[in-house]
Amino acid sequence: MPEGHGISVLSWIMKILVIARKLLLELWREPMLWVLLFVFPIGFIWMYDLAFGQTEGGMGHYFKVLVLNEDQSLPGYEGSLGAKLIDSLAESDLEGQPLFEIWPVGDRRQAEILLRERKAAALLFIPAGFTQAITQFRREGSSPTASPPFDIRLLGDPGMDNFVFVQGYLEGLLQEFVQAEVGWQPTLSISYEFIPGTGTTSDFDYGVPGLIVFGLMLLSASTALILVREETSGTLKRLRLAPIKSGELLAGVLVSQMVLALAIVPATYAAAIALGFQSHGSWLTAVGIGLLVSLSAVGIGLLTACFTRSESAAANLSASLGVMLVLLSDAMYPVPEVPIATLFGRTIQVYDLLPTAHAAEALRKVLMLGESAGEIAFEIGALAVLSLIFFLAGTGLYWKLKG
Amino acid sequence: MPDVVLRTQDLTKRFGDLVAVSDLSLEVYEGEVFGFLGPNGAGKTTSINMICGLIKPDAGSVWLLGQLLQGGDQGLRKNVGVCPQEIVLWERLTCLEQLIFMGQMYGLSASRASASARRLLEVLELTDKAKVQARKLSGGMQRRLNLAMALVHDPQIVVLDEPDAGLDPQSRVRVREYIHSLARVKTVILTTQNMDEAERLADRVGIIDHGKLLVLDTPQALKARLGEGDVLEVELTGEALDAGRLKASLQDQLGRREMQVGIDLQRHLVSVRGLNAISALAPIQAVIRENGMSVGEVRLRQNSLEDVFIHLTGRSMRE
Repeated sequence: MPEGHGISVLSWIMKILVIARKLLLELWREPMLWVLLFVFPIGFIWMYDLAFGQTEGGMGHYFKVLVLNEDQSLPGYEGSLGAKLIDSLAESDLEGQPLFEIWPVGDRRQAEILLRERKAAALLFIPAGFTQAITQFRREGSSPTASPPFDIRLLGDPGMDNFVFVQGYLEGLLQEFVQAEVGWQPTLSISYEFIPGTGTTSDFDYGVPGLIVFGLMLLSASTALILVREETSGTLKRLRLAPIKSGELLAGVLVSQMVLALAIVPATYAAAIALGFQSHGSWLTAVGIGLLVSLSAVGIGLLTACFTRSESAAANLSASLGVMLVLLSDAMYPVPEVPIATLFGRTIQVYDLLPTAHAAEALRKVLMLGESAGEIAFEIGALAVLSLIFFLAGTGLYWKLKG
Repeated sequence: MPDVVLRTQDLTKRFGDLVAVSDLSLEVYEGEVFGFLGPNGAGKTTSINMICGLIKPDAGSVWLLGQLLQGGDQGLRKNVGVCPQEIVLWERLTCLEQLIFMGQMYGLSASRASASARRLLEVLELTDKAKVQARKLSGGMQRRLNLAMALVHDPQIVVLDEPDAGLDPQSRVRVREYIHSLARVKTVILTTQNMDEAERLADRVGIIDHGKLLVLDTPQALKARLGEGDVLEVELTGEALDAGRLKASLQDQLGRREMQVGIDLQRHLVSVRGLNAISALAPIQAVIRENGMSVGEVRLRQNSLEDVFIHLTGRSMRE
């Protein structure tokens, strides 16, 4: 590289760092922003702990049950009893509302992924000879204390409230089903299996990664606020009078928000740990994910700054947008699933178009399941691409309207 | 002949139907203090914004230091320091922090920017406020800091857009002294509505109104255009003023003396301009009394740029 070019790149980088430092100094002296960026997310984690920190409490509204049906029909019979059991479970109701949402799966590995991601409450195994065993049991008859010769198994995370609820309901329904088929009430043998590495996580643990994303998305408010302030106070004009390009200013803004992201992730993580969050993974990988999320937040902040004229409007609108993105993304609470495509063997839901969905999923896998960066390549890739889209959209529009 | 550091040629800017600046052509010389005078809305700030490259002219060109200024001339703009009319500061940065920041934005190293900032704070008597955030400064101090922000990178040309606006008397004197100290060291372009200030500070003055440059010359030459002599101002007191009758009587009385007579109804003032104007005081007093009024305060002064403006536009700067 020619020496002159090297010096100009260095001076460009220095200028960006000076802008970032100046913005951080201003934010440091803005108490309300500290409340928004640090106290608010940490307070939210505390409230979440109060609400969902106990495993006996919890949501328990959505019982999604995976079913791995290996049963076959017998010659001369129409359909298998395994299929009939699935229909019966799908039709069961509680106060007029469907009790379960049944998702048939093809193999256990696929089911385990869904259970780990808490997309479903339990996996029900219907063994290969289920129809044959029930039929034989009915034909031969037995005493009420006898157990039918089949092994129904239920797999799940015992730390997840939904699994506990599903377990209770399923036992009763299976009992009723078998009783209806054989004509009397046998003693059912259901075996329970837990997903390796689970059993101790609570809904609070499950919610923490989403809350970290929530804290990071509030960076959209600080981004919008500093840009609108530069404009309304006239200092943007002063910067333009100096030989500063729009790109240098926006890069300075991005660097300052990334520095804040570097502080927000450890701060919220530490608060969660102090309140009993059980982390199994690398918080440094989580910080890397946080940096990618900050790109999205800055993008939203830039978009908001294009259309707001006052500091309060900028902060409020961008914070609302950022939080909405978190709430709509399945990061903190389950949202309805609307599949739109399949990519790399994964079903893509509508909320997968939001970077926050992949950020929360990646953080969940890293912090709760101890997965490495390589194991969450899909989530990191999707987060990076979507964050970049948000950032470029914000930068492009800001450049066009205010640059 | 000194070098031309700034030249504008037929500079024009329209905002919808309003022609804010029309065919502005002027030259500013190295080391001079150039006063750009005009009332509110005359087109001064729009002209300055075009000269600094902040807004794009609809027509015409600007040459800075002999080079045509185009949209992305970042390097060329380093030679200009602008003090905007309004106070433009980062409220939560200290005086020193923002001066160093601006210096670095203009490409100075941190140490050079710091040295320059400290020197300016001393000159503008803000040293004891170096570590105070801008929002905690008084209005006058903020104005002085605003001025320092234009100078921290040691530009060749300094544009001061109404630097005395809103200043307390103490700060006004300090700023005036400082601008005076810049003369010959830097080229200063000063826009103001304050004719006295311009007369005191500027080597040459351009008067602009309704977007058009009316005249451009030294203050002495402009005043000389009004003719030799002094201005006698007589304040009127009393009831019912018939301005037309009074003026006719005064002109009749003073006609042979080759004096110009003016009546300012708002200020209740009769002004007479001409050689040995004081000799007209007795006849004026007589005419005033004949018209049923009394004489209040009497002042004798020299021609001013305000008189030049009234002569050119038929109205006062404050109207």
